[in-house]
Amino acid sequence: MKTIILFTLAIILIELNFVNSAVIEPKIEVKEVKKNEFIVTPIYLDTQFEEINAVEVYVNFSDNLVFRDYLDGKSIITHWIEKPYYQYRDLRRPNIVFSGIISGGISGRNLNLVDLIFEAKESGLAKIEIGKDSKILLNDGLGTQTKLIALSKIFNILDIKGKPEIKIKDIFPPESFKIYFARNEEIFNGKYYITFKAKDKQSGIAYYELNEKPVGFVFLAKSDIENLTFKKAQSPYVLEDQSLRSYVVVKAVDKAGNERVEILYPQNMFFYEEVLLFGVFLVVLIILIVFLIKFKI
Amino acid sequence: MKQFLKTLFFILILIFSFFVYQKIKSASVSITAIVPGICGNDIKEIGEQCDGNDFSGQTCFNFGYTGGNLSCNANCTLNFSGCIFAPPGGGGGGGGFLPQYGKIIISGYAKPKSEVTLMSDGTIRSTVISGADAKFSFTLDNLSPGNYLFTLYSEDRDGRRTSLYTFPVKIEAGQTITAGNILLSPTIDVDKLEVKKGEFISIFGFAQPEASILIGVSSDEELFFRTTSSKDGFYLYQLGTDILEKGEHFTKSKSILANQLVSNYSRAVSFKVGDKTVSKETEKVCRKADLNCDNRVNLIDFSIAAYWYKRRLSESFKIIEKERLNGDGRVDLVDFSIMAYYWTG
Repeated sequence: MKTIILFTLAIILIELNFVNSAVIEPKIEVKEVKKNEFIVTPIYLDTQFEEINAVEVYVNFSDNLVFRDYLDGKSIITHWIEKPYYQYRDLRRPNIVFSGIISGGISGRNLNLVDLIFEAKESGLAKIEIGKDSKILLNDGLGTQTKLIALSKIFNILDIKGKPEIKIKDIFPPESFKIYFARNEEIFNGKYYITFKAKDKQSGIAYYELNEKPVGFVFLAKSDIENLTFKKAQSPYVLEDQSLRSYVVVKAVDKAGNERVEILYPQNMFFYEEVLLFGVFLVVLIILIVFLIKFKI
Repeated sequence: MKQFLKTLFFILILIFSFFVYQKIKSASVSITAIVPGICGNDIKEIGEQCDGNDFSGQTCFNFGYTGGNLSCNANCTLNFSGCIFAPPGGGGGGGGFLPQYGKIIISGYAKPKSEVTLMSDGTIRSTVISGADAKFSFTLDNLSPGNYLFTLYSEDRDGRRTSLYTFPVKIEAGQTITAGNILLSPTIDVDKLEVKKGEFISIFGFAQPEASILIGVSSDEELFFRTTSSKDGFYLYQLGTDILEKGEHFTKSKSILANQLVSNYSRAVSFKVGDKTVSKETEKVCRKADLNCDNRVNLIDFSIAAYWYKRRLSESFKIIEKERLNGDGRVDLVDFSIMAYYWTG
């Protein structure tokens, strides 16, 4: 009888806790995986009718799993503060942390935060759990923290060797994106910099490449872009050419290798001195022509 | 017999627990909201998922559907029976390797002749001017399949912005999605920073033409007032402050069009009821979360905040952080949340 009463009370307490608490859950469909296989683990959020706009999530996992990568193509996070990375708060048991914002806020269920990819290393029971110290903030203009239910998933790793592969079907290039040009006394020693953010809806952005092409006598043509040598870059990027006389070409590459190129045109096509010199030359030329016509030389 | 009694006792415990649970639940509502939500008053309040036509801006899209209309049950819970999953558009293809793009048509009502901005995933995609009838419409094509977060807002002639209207949509290859009847919130302002108790304060802004405007004033208890907007969308309510306690108060508004469509709440503005009257000056100040003071909150402000994330702030940035973020002397998740709330793209 005691068990029944305790069981009933437990159900009530769980239900009470769920009222107005956001839920974060690792959603793994399979119950068994083979050794060495990759496990794609979508991390889902249910806001329970609250409108939220910022998340900071800690993911703990058992020793027989290794975090390999993540996919953010389906994520509702519009701006990442920190993309998923290993955090060594406890050296023996590192966990994964990520954080970001959803500009304008969101309310709903089955909202994808990110897909984490783990590799099954050793056979046995494996566990992925959302850290209880994770944070969800309300879209109230104050950053109020809402209550959180952090769930976990347990599955079995079989002692059979599987293939460590993951197939991503992505034939779409990243979305068109905007390059913002900025300068702020507070950061980067007041130097000019650019900031950009591309989104790819399938596999997610793998990396960015960049080239600063100085202004030539002709405008930058499409064929010129193909011949440029790019280097890896991150946003924000402090411009090397602080005279702002270069085209800044940014290439976003997704995890399937599709590319999107955007160009920021030079802020200063010509120097003030050059314009002045050209003006003086023009005036002299006009005077010369007038002189020649008047005196019919 | 013993088994029967055991089962009966178990059932009784369950019924009793259910009533205790309901009691605790309603008690918790009355603690968080001073005036408990009255189901059936057509205003969605704390503890309600909806009320009448008031869904607080939520649509079927928020719950993973591709269209349809939400409805509200008599007990103020959401009813999803009108929501639909539309299959992706058929046909096309040929070769199988050509990417098939999707399309979305978004339409609704703002203030007449105002600039309406559409963002996807926090980036401005398009702006249009609403018609004299307050209608606006956007068509975005060449959308690669995937999850999108669309956000709308508009600005009145004095630069006041509506609250952000955000909804998630999943677009499949070749699919066309229509999101219509979106009602943007009113803009709102007050004419005084502080008002002497007993005097009037003007609460005003712009909404759809001839809409019913519900104004909420919250302090110790929440009070509601109604007015109607004019043909050009302007509304004004003169609030007598003799019914308010001295102290700080917040006001926000929502519009109701033809008794069918209900908007989100506008942003809240504050005023004080005290011993003197102080007019609100319209001097140019940097808005909340606008770190570079360019009248926008976008990726540039985000990059400035991200630079200071987990860093010791410089003395000059401490002043900016105090003015335009939460003022705790550091940049953390709370500051980014404030930025997300005021985002303009």
